[in-house]
Amino acid sequence: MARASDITLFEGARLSAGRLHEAFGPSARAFAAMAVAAAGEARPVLWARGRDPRRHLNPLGLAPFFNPGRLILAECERPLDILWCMEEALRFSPAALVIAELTKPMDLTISRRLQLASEAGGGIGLALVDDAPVSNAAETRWFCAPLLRDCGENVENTEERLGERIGENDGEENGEGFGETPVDNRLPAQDSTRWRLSLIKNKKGTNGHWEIEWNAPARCISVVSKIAGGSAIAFGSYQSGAAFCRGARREERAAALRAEQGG
Amino acid sequence: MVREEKSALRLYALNKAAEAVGLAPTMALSDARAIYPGLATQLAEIDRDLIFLGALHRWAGRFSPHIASDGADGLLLDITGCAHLFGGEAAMLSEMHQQFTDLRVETHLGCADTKGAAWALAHEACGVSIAPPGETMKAITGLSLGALRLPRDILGDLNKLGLAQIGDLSSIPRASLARRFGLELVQRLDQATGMRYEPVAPVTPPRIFAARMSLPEPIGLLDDVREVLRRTVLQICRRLDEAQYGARAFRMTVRRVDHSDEVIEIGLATPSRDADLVLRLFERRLEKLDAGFGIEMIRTQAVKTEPLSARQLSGEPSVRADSVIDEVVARLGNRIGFSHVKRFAPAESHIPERAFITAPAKDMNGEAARWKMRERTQPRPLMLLAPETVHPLSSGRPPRAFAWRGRKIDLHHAVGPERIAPEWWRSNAEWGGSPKDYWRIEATDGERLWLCCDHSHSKKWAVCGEFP
Repeated sequence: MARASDITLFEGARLSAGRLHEAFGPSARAFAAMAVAAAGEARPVLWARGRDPRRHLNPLGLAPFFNPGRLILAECERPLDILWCMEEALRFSPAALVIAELTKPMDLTISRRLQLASEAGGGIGLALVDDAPVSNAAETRWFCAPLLRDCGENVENTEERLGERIGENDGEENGEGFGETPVDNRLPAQDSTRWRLSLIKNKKGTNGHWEIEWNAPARCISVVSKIAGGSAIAFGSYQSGAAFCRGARREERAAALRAEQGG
Repeated sequence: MVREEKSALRLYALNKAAEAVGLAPTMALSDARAIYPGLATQLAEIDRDLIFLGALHRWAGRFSPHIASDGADGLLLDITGCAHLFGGEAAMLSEMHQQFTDLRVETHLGCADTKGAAWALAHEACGVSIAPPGETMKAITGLSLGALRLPRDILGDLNKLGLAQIGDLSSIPRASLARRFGLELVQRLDQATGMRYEPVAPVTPPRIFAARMSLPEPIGLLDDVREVLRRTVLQICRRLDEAQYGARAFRMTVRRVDHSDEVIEIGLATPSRDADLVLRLFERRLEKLDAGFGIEMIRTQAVKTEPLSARQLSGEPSVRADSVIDEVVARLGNRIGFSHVKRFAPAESHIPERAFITAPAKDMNGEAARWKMRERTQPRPLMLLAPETVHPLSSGRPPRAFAWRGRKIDLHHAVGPERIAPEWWRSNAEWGGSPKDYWRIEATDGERLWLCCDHSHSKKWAVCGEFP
């Protein structure tokens, strides 16, 4: 069986075959989806994640990136099974990419084992971790976060008109200084999100920071700008990103706990 | 043999010695013990009896192709045109009897022109009995009425009137028999004498694809087990290939020297007869096998077989991709369960939660390939959340600040609303009857959420998804 080949996202951003890679940040899943898109159409993709009835992967959200029919979803009950699935798929199956949503950062033991598995099978592993990663054997580490929209281009608010149209004239609600609310009613058909993608660890090559956009019709990444070697900026954003991740994760756990206690 | 029936133990089958002291089937065990205190009993295993009957069914195929099983303890062979191959009916039956005796199975054989008469001879006459062609009535006339397959109450009524043998009925007019005992008696009598046609409905026994290897010396090395497994699986797969069958699961039974069994079962995503694939799937499980003091027998069986015609396994890229997917699914499914290895398929709905189905990959036959890109849809979140109600902290549509997961979210930018109406042709409790407005919002600290507001009386705000 032919081995998986390197995935080139764009010039300078590459996931090499037979290696384990790692992504974190609020948009790590988007990064994974872009990597799947860049991996080509021929092979299936495995996505292993925990079984969570309250959070589903949405194929329609994946559709702008790649054909969701290619995805094989493994929903594991125990965190250990996620690792098992990833290792098994890396070692034996010629999947184009093996993605695993891990619940805690990979340590050296786990990452080394997965790295050996990808070397043996030639597959590409991409681990998505929620928390800030710790030192491990992954070849590259990516950080991906959305950039706040520049609100300077803010637009006219058509909420009042809409209110009339839907016959719900909630005068008070609309009246109170509502014009300042940055609401865009134009409903662009495409998500014009920009992400900041940082390669903050690279065993074979240089790091880099980019501002990227997803070009859905062409199914490719367009690099808006390469953020010039600001290691200070990168470090700052890395820190804040990690802090943001930790915070979000903590909140999520707290919410889950509350839901459990409530239910 | 006893069995539990309506929470009481009753006799199910007896040997000759027990019958000799006056015990009978269906008698309560306590009564039987009262009659004969030294009665040795054992629980009947009806399931295994049936499995044994199934084995005899396949075995009997050597005598006739038309075989039906009869109740829990009988086989019915239509030997029309077969007897001469064995040198006549008598020779055939004596050979049958001989082979049963070799198997140490006690049998009663009956052979007659009709199904009813043969049944009567087998059940009421002992050993081998043959009714020569055209002399059916003469052969069964001396048998008791129980041989006519009658219900117990009719039999009781007949016995009360002093009618004990089949011959006794022939002197009574049929009309009065039918009037008094119902049509069934007459019907059964006709079936026995051949006045009424009763066919043998042959059933083909289920095909069993299994191979067994008994080892002259116990083995304990993994390589040896692997080799035995390889040989048995190759044999099974060859037979599956000849029969154009594929298996969805394989079972390997390992018998150790101390007669304890260990069973390993693997499943496949699609029916297959690819020996290499099966062996690869077994490989992981073999490592955990405990050989104990040694293994003396290994039996491998293809369970859950179904017809599978030949198809091209290499060449076309799509076919190759399919077989790759099947193997991945099988590998993972054997560990985390086949129901948890899933794929997405599109569904005909505009409701975000309903626009796709997630189904076990092994049940999908090409449905996952039906995705087509619709360019004109609004962006959808990557993660769908079960709606989490939020508390608005300020006014506005959408609120400029709200509390979500114990945190204050300040709105930075919002795109919307996108209105999604419920599907009126479906009743849907979770969605509710009113349309919903969705906003894609961006919070000042980076979250990108899908906020929804329903138009019911409560006007609740909820987070329904997360954008990456």
